[in-house]
Amino acid sequence: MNSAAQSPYRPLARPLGASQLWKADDHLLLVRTIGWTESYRRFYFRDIQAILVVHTNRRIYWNLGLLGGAFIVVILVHAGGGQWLSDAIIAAVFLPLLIRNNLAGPGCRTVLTTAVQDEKIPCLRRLRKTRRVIEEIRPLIRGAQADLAGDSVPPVTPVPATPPPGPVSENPPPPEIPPPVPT
Amino acid sequence: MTPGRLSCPSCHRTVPEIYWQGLDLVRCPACECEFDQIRFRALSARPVVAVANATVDGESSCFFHAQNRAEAACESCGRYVCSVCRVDFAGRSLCPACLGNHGERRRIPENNRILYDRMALIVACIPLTFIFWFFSFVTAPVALTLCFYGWRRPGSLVPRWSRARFIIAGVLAFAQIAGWIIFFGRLIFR
Repeated sequence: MNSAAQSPYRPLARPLGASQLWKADDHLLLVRTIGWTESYRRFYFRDIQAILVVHTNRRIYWNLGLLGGAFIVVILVHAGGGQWLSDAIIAAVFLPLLIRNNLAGPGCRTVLTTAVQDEKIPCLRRLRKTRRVIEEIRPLIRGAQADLAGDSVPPVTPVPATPPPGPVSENPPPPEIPPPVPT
Repeated sequence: MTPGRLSCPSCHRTVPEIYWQGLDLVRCPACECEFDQIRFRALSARPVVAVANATVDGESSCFFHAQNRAEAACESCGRYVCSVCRVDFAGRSLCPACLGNHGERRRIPENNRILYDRMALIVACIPLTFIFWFFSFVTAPVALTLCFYGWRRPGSLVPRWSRARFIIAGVLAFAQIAGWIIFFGRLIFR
């Protein structure tokens, strides 16, 4: 039995949802819960090649769905002779959902790419949260891949120029101070 | 040209490197889908391929490939293995035969688990729905058994309220069993 103190995992997204993302020292753990079984996928920081984020219209669709649902319920209630109290109850149900949907920000779809798989991360569906998670794991991934030869240009180490061949004298000239290298 | 390959997250076609190299916002040439990319070095790193060296006179050879020079000894059985057969696993160098053994396979990270706490809670909650109340005659003992059976079984890999679920399921199951005992007791001793 794991307790929060003993477990190596820390939550990144949706700690109570059916799909969750957890962070360990050297990998991400994607947990999917169906009924009473949990399936796990591990993405080691060293293997992650790219994170792709597609912008979607999820927030707009949810807004339209919630407003449409509220409208239908209002019509049905008023057809049955509902009063202002019923409108207040409907608003109390739909308004928090609408506010939460808009506070969560625009929608997105996130795909994590490794050499052998492109895995969709279902719990990262809002851009704001996705960016927060990426900023949290980006330094960990870069640290794990620091020794890999990537496509980024390596820092240029200034090499002192070799002096041209000339007559060897017994009293060599004093060493020249190399010019400062612009950074 | 990097060895990495980037697939469009919408149409899953490979996006040619000229479309994504050096860019943060990529447009798929096939489906016109735009997406942000956060690239890491692993995308352009060349994969490490183990190459075995040929054995020379006087050198130890691999147990599985007599023509290959031994690079390491299996830390489980002691056989010499070449760089092709050597498997670095959980901080140890093993041979393929030992990796297939049951004892070593238990160290492989699990890909799924059964959560007995959730199972017990679901079974205990089924009769709480109005039309299935009579199922509790069967489900309550099952839920209580699951609570006892799963209490010491490994739970979720991630921290959860599994003990709390067991307790709630056990209390519910116990209450249902008590209800049936009272019901049958009244029938018998009326």
